[in-house]
Amino acid sequence: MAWGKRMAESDTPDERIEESTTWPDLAVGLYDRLTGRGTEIIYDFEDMTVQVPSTTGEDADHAEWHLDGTVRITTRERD
Amino acid sequence: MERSGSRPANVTDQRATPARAPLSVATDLTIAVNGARAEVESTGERLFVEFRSIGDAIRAARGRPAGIGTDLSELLTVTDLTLEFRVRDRTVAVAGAGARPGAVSRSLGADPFEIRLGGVLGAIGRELSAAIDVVSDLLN
Repeated sequence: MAWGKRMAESDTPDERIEESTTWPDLAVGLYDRLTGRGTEIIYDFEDMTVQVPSTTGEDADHAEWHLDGTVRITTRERD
Repeated sequence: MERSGSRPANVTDQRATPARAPLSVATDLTIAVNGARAEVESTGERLFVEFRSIGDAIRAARGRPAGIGTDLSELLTVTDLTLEFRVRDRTVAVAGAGARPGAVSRSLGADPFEIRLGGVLGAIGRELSAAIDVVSDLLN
């Protein structure tokens, strides 16, 4: 099992996306980091298995998610 | 591949929410939830999760975290992405920027996802046809 994320052109470790609490905030942070730099983020999943809880709490059921392949993310101009 | 349809008059358009962070996504990905496998394809702004059977789609849906539908829909809308769930090459549900949930979605409790009854019926028809083919092969 392996999982990796890499920046295609510029990857400056000192620049960190501030902690996000919601998925939209995370996306906006990602957009601000990527846009205007001609960069892309590539996620490589190699037979990665994750136990995903159905909800929070100790009694949650878990579903097994398996991922294999690549996701490339780039930005587009705002309308 | 069936893609998009016309917009009924009494539907909510997710595009009313501004896309604050429009992204483009390219995938070469296979996912499996509790053994139910799906291929994830994309055209940049639109992603397609392709299930081989209705059973796989149902099994995968049962493995989703509670409340993920609203979070996922918000994420897709902010990023101006649309996610289509397909079974046997028919679109059965749509989420995100291009989703147009209407009365059917609300009555099924699927809002903010758009449920496409035509796609569901088409997938069921193809599933039955495939089952008949299997039985026919067994008998011949």
